[in-house]
Amino acid sequence: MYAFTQHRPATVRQAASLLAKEEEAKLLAGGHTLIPTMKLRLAGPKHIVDLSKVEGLTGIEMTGRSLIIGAMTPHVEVATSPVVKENIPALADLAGKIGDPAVRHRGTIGGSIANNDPNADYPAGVLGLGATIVTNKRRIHADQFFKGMFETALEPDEIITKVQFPKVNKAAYVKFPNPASRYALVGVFVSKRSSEIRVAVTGAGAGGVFRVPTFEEALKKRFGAKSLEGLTIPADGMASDIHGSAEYRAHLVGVLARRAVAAAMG
Amino acid sequence: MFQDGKFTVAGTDKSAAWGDVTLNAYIAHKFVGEELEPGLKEGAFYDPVNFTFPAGCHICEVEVDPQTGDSEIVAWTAVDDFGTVINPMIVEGQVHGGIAQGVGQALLESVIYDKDGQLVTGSLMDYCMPRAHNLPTLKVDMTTTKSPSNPLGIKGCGEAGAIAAPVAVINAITDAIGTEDLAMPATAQTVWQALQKANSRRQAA
Repeated sequence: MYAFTQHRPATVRQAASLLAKEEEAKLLAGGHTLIPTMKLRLAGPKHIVDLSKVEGLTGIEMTGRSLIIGAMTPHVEVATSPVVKENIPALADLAGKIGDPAVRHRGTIGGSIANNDPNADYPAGVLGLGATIVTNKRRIHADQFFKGMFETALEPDEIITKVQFPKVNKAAYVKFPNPASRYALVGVFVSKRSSEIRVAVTGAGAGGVFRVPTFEEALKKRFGAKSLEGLTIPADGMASDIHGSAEYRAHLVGVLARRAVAAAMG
Repeated sequence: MFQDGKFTVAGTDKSAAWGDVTLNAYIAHKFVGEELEPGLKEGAFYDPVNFTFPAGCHICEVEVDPQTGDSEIVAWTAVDDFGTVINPMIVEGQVHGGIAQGVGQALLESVIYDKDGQLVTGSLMDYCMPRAHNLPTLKVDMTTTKSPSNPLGIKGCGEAGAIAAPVAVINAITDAIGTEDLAMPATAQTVWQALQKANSRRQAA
């Protein structure tokens, strides 16, 4: 690890001004990606802006028809929250499938989506539910937020403060984990909110999380696993690595989407 | 001469007990290094009349998800013959550990280098070791046929599980999917690809 200066701001405003002022500054949330990459000297930020002492970034609440989760809320709290379980159980289920218990106690929702790892679980939930990402500057809809592998719409001094999920009628997340890392080799999140259907896929795409319009169209006609029977997506554009070929990933998208719809139907 | 726990000088009544001899052999500052080194050493090599041959039978039951290729081990029964067993608990532990290792080899573990010779499975994020959930509750039992090649009638037990497990797992999977064209480790993708290949061959025939 290279030497760095650690800052512990108490407010989002202080954190944002540190990000703007200091060169090569990085935000530290749960640290499950940043710290290992720093240990391997793949990253060497001069300044770390630790968000753990910033007030008002954690918590879960229902406001009207929206579930609001603070950016620094760890996965375990989302997984076990009675509010999440009652209103969007698929999201609690997703959070409970991330990594292992140690990861779930440290990793945060804001950190996960800001990093936008192509194999992370939360991007599928955020895109699959059509959530809104609230930052210190603006509100960004999930459809405009994820910009490709490890890329988001966030500006350099922009900080996610919370994520707002609309309550949906039906939803489910089905994950095929990489047996070694527990990241999603492929994960599919489906949701139905009146006439809006979303099918979001993580792990499979070469460019990170993506929606599957052909599946969504088929499900609009009739929301059931049978509607996806025989539908596939092309291997073109899928990721390919030692854990899975593009063909296998494309195949799993279809299998998991059918299972997710079946699970959403209960 | 050593007899009845005592060293005696033949033809005299001089003797020293085993405990005294061993204690004095290690007392510091008693020895002039140039003349005599402290310590008491003796070596022996036992050359048995033959090797030992443990034998056993492992039965593994798997469930294969034909859509994803994922294999789950749902039951395991192992009966081994290690001859005389002195401590059955640690012997069972050896069998458990060996099976886990063999399951890792059969289903999960592989070392992969890229074309430039760089190891790409260099961490446990990429190199998959077996975990507790990869194994069912193991039923382990033993029969006892004493080995004739040593006085204790014992046989080796440390590698029995690791030898039996890969064969049992792969036989179970090939039996389930109906093709023997399957390389280790039988990851979900490998099994899925084997199924695809077998299906297209069946269609062509």
